[in-house]
Amino acid sequence: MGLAQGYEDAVSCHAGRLRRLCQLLLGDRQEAEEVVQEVFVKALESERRQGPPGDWGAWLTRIAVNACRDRRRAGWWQRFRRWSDPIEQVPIVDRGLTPEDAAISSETRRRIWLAFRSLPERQREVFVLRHVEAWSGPEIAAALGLSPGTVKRHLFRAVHRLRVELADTR
Amino acid sequence: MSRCLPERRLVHLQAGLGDPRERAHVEACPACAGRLDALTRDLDVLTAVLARGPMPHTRPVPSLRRWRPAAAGAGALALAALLWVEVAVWRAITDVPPSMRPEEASAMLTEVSLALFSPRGYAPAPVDASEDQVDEDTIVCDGADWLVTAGCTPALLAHAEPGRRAGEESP
Repeated sequence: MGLAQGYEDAVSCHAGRLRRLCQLLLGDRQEAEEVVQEVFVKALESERRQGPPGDWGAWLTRIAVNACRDRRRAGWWQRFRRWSDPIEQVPIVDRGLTPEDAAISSETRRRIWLAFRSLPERQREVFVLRHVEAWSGPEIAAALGLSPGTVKRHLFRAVHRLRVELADTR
Repeated sequence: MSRCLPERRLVHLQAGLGDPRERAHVEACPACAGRLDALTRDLDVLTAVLARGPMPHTRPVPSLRRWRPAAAGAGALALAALLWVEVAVWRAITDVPPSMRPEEASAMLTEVSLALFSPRGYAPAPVDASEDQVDEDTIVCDGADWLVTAGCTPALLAHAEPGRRAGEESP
């Protein structure tokens, strides 16, 4: 009962965040949804076998990042078909934004998304874990199996590239 | 630390991966502090777009645009393969004699034209039996090409052997 309650809490607490994370890493809403379902199935199996993890959030995030990487490697053809879809043809609808977020123009958003999507896989993962998930450098290094120096290098390259794109819109 | 920090160090510092001495420098240096503020503002915008903003929907590119180059390449490959097969088959089924002397060709063409255009039908020229008769006295079954000489019977070969051996033994 307690285990099930912990699992249900984790699902309700982290589902939205993981969906967003997977969508950032995969670039596809449907694939992200499938990966999140896989992550929760794995979490349930693992909870039954080994008991609940100490930190549901970090544990689920780590599983999700690895599942996204597996998905990218396994479904390269599908990803090619979807990832190559041009963002510029699609309007990014602004709904429910804070005034600060609403101040960012559609053109700026479009260019940021394009630049983000063009980042290499590792740079995207490191950037998302640091600046979206607010993980520390050592946590990122441990989760991705990288050295701290490599994490720093990927982070700098990702930030530099995104800032260049942002500067061009001003 | 007196020199201003490069962008790389500022990014690390902003991410909490910097050195305490670098942080002390930024606190003391207005230029670096300003650059760090600008970096933080940029990251706020990036995070707002990526973490909280609406996500772009993608839709498939029209298939023709994506498949046209691949189809052209595959077509060219198929054409090349077809040509190769055609040439290989043509070479296999076409039996071209390696060499034919002009008189042989002329004789063959004469026979063909006789067979085709003779009003009485084709009658091969009578073969003179005396031409085919082999005079055993004239056959030389000795030498390098005795194997291909017509009429070299075992008896003639046996007759030729002693002389040949004798010739070999004499210097």
